[in-house]
Amino acid sequence: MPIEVTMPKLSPTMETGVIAQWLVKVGDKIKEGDVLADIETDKATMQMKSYDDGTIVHIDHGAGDEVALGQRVMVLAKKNEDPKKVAADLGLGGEAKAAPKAAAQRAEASAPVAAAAASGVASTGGLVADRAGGNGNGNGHPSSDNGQQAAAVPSHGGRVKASPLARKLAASAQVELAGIQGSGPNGRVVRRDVEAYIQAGPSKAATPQAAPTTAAAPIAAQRIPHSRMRKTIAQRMVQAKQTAPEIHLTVDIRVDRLVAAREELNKRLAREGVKLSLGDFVTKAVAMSLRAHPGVNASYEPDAIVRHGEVNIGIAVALPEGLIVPVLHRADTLGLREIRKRSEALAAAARSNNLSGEQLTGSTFTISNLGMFGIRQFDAILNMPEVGILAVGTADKRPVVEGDRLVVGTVMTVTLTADHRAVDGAMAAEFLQTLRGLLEEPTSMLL
Amino acid sequence: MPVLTFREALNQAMTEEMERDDRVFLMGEEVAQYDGAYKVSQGMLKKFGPSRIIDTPISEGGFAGIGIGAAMVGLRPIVEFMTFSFSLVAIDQIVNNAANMRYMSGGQFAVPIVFRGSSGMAGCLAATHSHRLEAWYAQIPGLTVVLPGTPADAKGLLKSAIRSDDPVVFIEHEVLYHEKGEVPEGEHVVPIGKADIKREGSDVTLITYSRSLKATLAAAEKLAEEGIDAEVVDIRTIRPLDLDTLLTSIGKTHRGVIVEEDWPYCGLGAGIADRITQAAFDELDAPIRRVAAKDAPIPYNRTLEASMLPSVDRVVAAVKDVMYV
Amino acid sequence: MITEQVQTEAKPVVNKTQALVWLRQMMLIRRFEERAEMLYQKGGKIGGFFHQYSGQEPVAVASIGVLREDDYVITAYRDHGHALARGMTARAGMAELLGKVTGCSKGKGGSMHFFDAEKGFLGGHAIVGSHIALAAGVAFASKYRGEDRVCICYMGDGAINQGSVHETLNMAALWKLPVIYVVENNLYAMGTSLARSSSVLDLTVRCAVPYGIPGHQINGNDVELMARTTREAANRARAGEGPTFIEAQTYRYKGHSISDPGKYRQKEELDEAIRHDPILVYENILKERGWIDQEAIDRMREGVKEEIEESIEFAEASEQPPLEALYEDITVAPFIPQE
Repeated sequence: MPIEVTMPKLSPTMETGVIAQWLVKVGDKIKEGDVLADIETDKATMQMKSYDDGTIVHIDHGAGDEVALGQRVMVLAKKNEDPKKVAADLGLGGEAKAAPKAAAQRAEASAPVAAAAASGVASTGGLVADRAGGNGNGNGHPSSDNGQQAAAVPSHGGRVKASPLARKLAASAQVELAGIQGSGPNGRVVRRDVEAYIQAGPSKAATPQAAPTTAAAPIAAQRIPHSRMRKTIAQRMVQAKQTAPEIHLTVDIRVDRLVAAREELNKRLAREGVKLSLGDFVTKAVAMSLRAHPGVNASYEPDAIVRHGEVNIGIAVALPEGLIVPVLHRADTLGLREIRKRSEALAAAARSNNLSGEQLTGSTFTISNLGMFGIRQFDAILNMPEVGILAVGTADKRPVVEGDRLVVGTVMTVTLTADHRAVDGAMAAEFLQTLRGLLEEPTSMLL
Repeated sequence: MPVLTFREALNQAMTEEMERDDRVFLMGEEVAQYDGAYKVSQGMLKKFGPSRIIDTPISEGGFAGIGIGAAMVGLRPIVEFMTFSFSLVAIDQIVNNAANMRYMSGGQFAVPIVFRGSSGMAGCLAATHSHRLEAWYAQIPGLTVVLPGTPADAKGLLKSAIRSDDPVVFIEHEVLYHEKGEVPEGEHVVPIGKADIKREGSDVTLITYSRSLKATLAAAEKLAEEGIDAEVVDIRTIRPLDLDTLLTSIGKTHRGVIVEEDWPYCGLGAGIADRITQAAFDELDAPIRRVAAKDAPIPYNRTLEASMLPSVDRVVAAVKDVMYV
Repeated sequence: MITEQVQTEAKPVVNKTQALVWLRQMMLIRRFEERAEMLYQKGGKIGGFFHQYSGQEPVAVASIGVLREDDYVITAYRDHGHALARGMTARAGMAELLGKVTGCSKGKGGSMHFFDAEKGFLGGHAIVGSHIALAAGVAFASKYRGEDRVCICYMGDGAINQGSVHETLNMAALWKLPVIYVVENNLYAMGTSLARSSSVLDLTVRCAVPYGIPGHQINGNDVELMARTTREAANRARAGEGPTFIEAQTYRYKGHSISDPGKYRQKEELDEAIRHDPILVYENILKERGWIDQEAIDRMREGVKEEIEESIEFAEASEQPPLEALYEDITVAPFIPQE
């Protein structure tokens, strides 16, 4: 009998899964443990793995299709069965005809199934191997009507086994435990696994495959499979937009004195090879303002607002692959020199994929600065569960009204995005007022 | 600094406190004319006379109660149990009267008393004379429970215990009595409720007390040879537990192993592991492991008895378990 | 059991003022428990174990009545009478029964654990026999400091079967401690009669003779006999001659505790005892001496009633302990809950 592969239950609450992409195609010989597809569940994008060995004779759905739990997604011929005969017997004709994105999917389908190898799942059979592989990789278990495997995998509910510390680190670094191979007992993901994963960085951890060069296509569209970082960004940005009622408050800050102070300080620091940026002053001022307005240095949780004790500033760093937010811990206790040094070190570590778990965790407020691109003003999206993020624009010369005169002043525009569930407009405005005061009168930061 | 044995350190603590405060007296079996069953009170009768160094009949329940009564009206008795195994005969006095008195009287009567004596598996003493009862006493609100592991701590903690206004259960380990160590002269007071980091390390926190400290430190050295840097925390006071020190250490190492001579089930380590887990679950990279005595009565046979103890090898194995190596 | 009420000798051992104080104290204890029982049974305002002293009042009143203010008193769980006899206010006792902060133990002890440090009342103690050693310890402290304060310790006839009682009697005698042990023999250890629990019915034979302690078996309900016997014991103790053992024969009117239907004894036995109620007997003696008349007795009783009613009002108006009190008064050092 051929094997019918059905939509697995990949999260405790999912009812349907969307096929993000197929990683196999009709005719492929697959082994147990091979990754067949990426499935978007209600929670995350998860790998769907094979519990069987066989040859694919039919795929029911194309990328983008939403499939109910337990519904068939593909048919496999067993090792001793003739795939063609199976297809003929079942009256099946290969891949999903109705799939709207079938063409794209076919082009993609020729990509070798490298993901499975990268995930390192042992393809040995047996209960223990199943459980270790399943849990270690966070792959869910098949729904019960996938008869063959249901018995082999006891009801762990697709739960990833991980140490509490590993869970905390992964959550803070915004990586999915499910994607991490556990090295502890029974595939438990432990701290070293998370750190190794973060160290390896998204480019190594993900498995982007070079798009195959199709012969005749002169200007083919490039399809870049989602890296984990990209998926995480997508998921978290959507989550923020969907759950947090955001408010945006913009304020212009006159920074002439700040620019002068910076020049003065940099002259003195030149010997040490330290050069302060305006961003460093912003970081310092934000940290001090947060200390004064603890309601903004907070997280929104279902049953409470948590006002954090520490002021830890996440600083968004752009990477070719995406965005990462290393953390400047206890920024309010740091001097400008220290802020500069640590920010540089964090940015360098981010670019070389060398951020530690700690450097990626614990932020209580985030700053996103696009001033270096000449951007005057923008709105940032919250870094959940934080309740505030500051978008910093460029400082440039603008006409400024002083009394009744028009003068030239250096002005910087910043925009606070706040989660209105936790931060009301007045609180946000007061925070910006403090921030503006500090930046316009930089000597007041000394107080 | 002078080097003293553990028993000499205890003797020094009692002698100094009795010289300092004439409300302090020592009472127990064979403490006076015999000079102490374990020679802890050696020479004290000669120094202080029979009104302050008092031999009792073999009536633990009776003289424990007499000590408590005397403490209720302002004396500061030291009641010696020849071994804490015999405190089982007096446990009603310790638990119902010493521990509860202040509470039941709405704060009117304090019981500044020290119950002290030897305990533990000391070699071929078999089931009745090898008890480790610290977990029993540590469960009782109202009691302070102290178990020193070094001569210096023995002196400093006993002085604190005698000065405490609350009932203190001060448990010495019989095999430690001859252990030597540097002991500060005179006013050396170790605060109750403070753990002591006996060895700093970064990879794993070994939590221990009393006699098990020795095996734990030896295990830490052995682990160091294998590149594992263990921190050894001597909790010293069992109640109140210095949770802050433990959490700081666990926050650094993310792993804990508790080494104790107590039985495993409902033992002291179970309580400590629970408190760490409640407070610092997210810091743990592995379950807290416990190296405890085996779950059997204490046998007479030397080899069987030795097999029950937390050994260096058992500690090393537990550490490797939580290190995932 | 008590077969006849021995009349006090014609020659009084106390003066008139003292006698009237004792009479009033006995009335106060009786009324205190009558009204407390009502609060227990009607409003459920009192909970837990509640052991009444009614019928035994002369033992506590007359013995404590001959002690000095700086002496110590300690007793078992049937402690209302001793506390009031020692001078604890009815307010403090009633508030304790209601579990209020104004209670003599701040609502932490209840009926069985009355304490009053100021009055040298070292408690009601509820583990049978457990406080006998405490009394010896208190006496030990007195001797250790070279003072002549004595400690009087009450227990029921059930306590003499506890091992630590005998350990302590031995040490008290051995060290000549200034302590007076009073066994209030009310014939029943809860529901087990003395005849069914003691190999020897004369308790002085069990508790005094073996330890070389002077023992007296007396009618504890004879106010002035109880007083005289206690005074002699106290004098011995102050003189450094050691402990005295008194078996005070008496009778409790109520069950062992409030939940005791008393099926182990005959109704006739109880009726007989009540006919010779020690308070009535003492009233008659004092009337015969011309120290008081019925009108004054009635006034006294009314005054006692008012005092008890006022104590109930006080107790009911008092605050419940705040929840934070749970962690208060556990240790002298700051208490750190291990949770």
